Amino acid sequence: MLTIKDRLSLLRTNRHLSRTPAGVLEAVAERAEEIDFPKGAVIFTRKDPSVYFYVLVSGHVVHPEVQAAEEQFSIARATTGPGQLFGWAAAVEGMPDRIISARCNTPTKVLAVDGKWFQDVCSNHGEAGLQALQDLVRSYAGHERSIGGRRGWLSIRNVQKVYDPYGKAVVAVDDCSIEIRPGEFCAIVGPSGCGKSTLLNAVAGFDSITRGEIYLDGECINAANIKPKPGPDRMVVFQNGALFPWATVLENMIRGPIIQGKMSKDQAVAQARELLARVGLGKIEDSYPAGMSSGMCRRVEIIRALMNDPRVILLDEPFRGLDALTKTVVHNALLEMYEMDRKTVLFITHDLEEAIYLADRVLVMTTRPGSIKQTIFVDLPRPRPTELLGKEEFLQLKEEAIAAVHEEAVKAFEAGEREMA
Amino acid sequence: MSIPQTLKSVAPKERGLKISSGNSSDGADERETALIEAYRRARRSGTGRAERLFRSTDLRYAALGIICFLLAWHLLTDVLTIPRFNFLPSPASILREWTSTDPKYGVSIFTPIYYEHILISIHRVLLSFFIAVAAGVPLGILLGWNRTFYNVVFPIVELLRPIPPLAWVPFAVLILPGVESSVIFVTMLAAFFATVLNTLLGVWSINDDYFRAAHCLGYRRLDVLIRIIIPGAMPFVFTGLQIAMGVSWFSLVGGEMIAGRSGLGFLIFDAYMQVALPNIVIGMITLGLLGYISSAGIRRVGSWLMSWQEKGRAER
Amino acid sequence: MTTRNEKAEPRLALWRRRFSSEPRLALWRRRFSSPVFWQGLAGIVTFFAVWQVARWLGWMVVIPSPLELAVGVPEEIARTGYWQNWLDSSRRVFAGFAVAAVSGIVVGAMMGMSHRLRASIFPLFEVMRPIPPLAWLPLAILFWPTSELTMVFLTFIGAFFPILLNVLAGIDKIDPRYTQAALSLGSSRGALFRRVMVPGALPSLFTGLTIAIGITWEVVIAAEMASGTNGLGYMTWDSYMTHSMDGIVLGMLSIGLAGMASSWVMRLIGQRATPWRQR
Repeated sequence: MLTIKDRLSLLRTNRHLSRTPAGVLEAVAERAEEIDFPKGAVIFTRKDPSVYFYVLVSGHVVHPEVQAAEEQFSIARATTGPGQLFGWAAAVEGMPDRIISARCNTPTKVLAVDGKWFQDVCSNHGEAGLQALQDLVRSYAGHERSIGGRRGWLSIRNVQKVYDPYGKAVVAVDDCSIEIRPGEFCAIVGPSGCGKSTLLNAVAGFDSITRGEIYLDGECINAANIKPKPGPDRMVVFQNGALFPWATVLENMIRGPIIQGKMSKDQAVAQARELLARVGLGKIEDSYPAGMSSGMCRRVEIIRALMNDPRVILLDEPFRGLDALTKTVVHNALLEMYEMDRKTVLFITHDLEEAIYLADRVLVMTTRPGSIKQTIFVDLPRPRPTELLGKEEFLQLKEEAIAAVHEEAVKAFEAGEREMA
Repeated sequence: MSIPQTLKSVAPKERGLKISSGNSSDGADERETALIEAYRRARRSGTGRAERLFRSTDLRYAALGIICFLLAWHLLTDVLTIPRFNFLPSPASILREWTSTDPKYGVSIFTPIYYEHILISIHRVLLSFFIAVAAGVPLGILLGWNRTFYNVVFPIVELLRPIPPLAWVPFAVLILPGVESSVIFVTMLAAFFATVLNTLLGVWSINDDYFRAAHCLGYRRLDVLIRIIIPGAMPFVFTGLQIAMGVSWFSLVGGEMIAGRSGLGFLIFDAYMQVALPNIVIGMITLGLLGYISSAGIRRVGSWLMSWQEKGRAER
Repeated sequence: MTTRNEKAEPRLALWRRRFSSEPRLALWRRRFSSPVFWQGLAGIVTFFAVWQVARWLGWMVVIPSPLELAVGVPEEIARTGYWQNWLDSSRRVFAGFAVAAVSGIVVGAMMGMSHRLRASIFPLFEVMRPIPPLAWLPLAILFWPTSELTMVFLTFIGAFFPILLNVLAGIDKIDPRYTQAALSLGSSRGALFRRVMVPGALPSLFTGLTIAIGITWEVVIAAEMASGTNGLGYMTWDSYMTHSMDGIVLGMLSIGLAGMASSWVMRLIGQRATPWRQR
């Protein structure tokens, strides 16, 4: 058992709590409950009604929290130092479920503090107490509020992927963390071979990863040492198109929902027709993909994905190989479809212009091993007209992105030359 | 694209002349025309008069080639009578024998025995072909579908496959009752391996993205089998069936010659034994015709079943 | 690692790779540790076990069991003349194949270069191609003075069409852009042939050669069975006549092995000849 003094000094080491009024901190030191967790225990998880927050005494907790400054997220890889705070959701008003989880890597001892009670104490301490609470709240993931109730929160945490770990050991992605809000259109750009597609395959569940975890709405969908499973909650639109060439457009669209048991055949046909008509492809339902232009194929593929009502749409360089004119048409179609029903979109491309034009946020990836180098926020209003491509603010963003990507591209090029030699 | 545009308006003969006059080396131009022709064929854009004319030029050349061949054959066997060539039947004698109502050697289009041999051969080929397909296509799909099954069964297939079907003839004759079943067995064997292998290749040829997309769409294993693997492997399966039909005829002739008592292979060998020279060639030509018709039939069925492949090309 | 070491590394690594048995050992270790190997082994063992048990249960009267074969086949191999048979058959295959390869390549190249020639010859070949090679046997016996030549001729017929077709397909498959690029770079007709058409058609040619050598073995076996006096096919047939099941099985095994080995050699040559292809 720790003495009150020990506890107090422990609390003071935390930079957020140190600003809390002394009275509150002392009360916390008195009230805080010491809890021991065995190795491998999960402290809190999705839909956990626990209202505690925790101060680490000893041990090692993995993925304890999203440390968020509003939009740009990073993952605290682990909480190891005594006095560190995690599980702040308890401190945030109106957060019914936690969507995150913390796992103990070693036997762990924590001080658990009742969040409701903490809020009350803070508010009893007037201005200073409220200020402290607000600081705490702000530094907690501001986005989680918006997550409440909406689906499609994609959380990629410290992911590493090593191909052929016993042979050449190519590290494709290393310590890559991305948080994507529900309904966000997030683009990842980077030089070719930087691990963009690897990341997407990991999210889609096609590939396993060697370290880290990927969560969709707090559910673990991929982690080291598990065999991931693709599913209709994550629809992929492929680089080279994957409309089944032996099936008509209609058949391509309706089969998925029917097999999943989401719709009856009539319903599916009706919805497919409606969606096709809405994007102006009403007349092609009986033709085969080989008979359509590639731009049409892509549009059909995107609405095939939408038909399945996924939580996330993963686009893997879907417009590669389209000519510039077709591209603009398909871009607008994609934006239109995005406006219809704001799904979370993870969009992978190496075309900066299209990334900025389409996305809310553009992440620039470093060359192999890939991780996120820079985030570019695109606060251009939606709906975005084509004229935007020539506007000043667009060009500025583009310049910024080009500078970031160019550096990486040069690095990738040099790395490629080294590999060849 | 400007090349097909200009081509369409110029008649082929003029075009040939124009190109030859422009350049001294003739063959390169030939090659270029062939290239352009291939290009046109790939695009399938012009279906007008020019193309039909082009086709008919091809036809004229084809007729020329065949006539030259027949003429040479006639000269060598009937007119010049060079040693060794005089052993061969001449085209005229074959035609006479083939269409005679009272053939010297007993086989012509008016004798029932001729059709009997044909029917027996066809019956054998079809029977063994269908057995081979009925066993080979499912086996090939299963091999491609299930990794473990492949690992266990494919080595056995690989163990038996290199042995040519005809090497099985003595074995088959000894272990199977009757000549009929051993001939069919040998014929089937050839077709079987071709079918299995091509079906397997067909499953393997399916783009990985289709499987991934199917998983995304929530297809279960059986759905993947029915909706992805089977239609996706079809083009290769039909290539395999064509090959299988070819080797079926090949092995059938071998089987009938070595061990048979009837059929076209036997007809040929019997004709040789009794020195009925025209019958040999009649048998050969009949075999060639049947082989051609059967593989053309399979091609027709294949392209009809896989109209999804063709439709795109017509429009693009 | 220090700079000095880094400089010394490549040559050393190269040397090690060339002379150490480690990669091969590692390969075998990986093979032994993979389930694929054991599953395959289990399949083959089951196959032989079922065969053996069927014989013990008396279901198969004529076919000897694997164990009997294991005794009988080596005896057959030890007989005089077995290796001579190999030699005889190989000679025929090689002769027929060589003639077919040379003529197939020459005719194919000519047909590929000249549209007129192709249009006049190709239909003729199309007419003759569906005739099974064995159907030529009686005519060949009549025409050629010796049975040796007859058999070589049959192997030639068997190998010629696949080679020719694949040469043509190879030439057709050459991307017209390569030819156009060569022409726009001002290449002469000879250079076009040497630098574009030959390398372009090589992969397909080797596919044809690999197929053809397989067919050649099939044809030579049948020809020997029907009209030979020696060779592997004749040996098999002779074993049948004398009701020696061991001999038949040995014949089948030898023929299979011969076909496999020659296809393998052909593929190897093909890989060597087209180093730019990714494998």
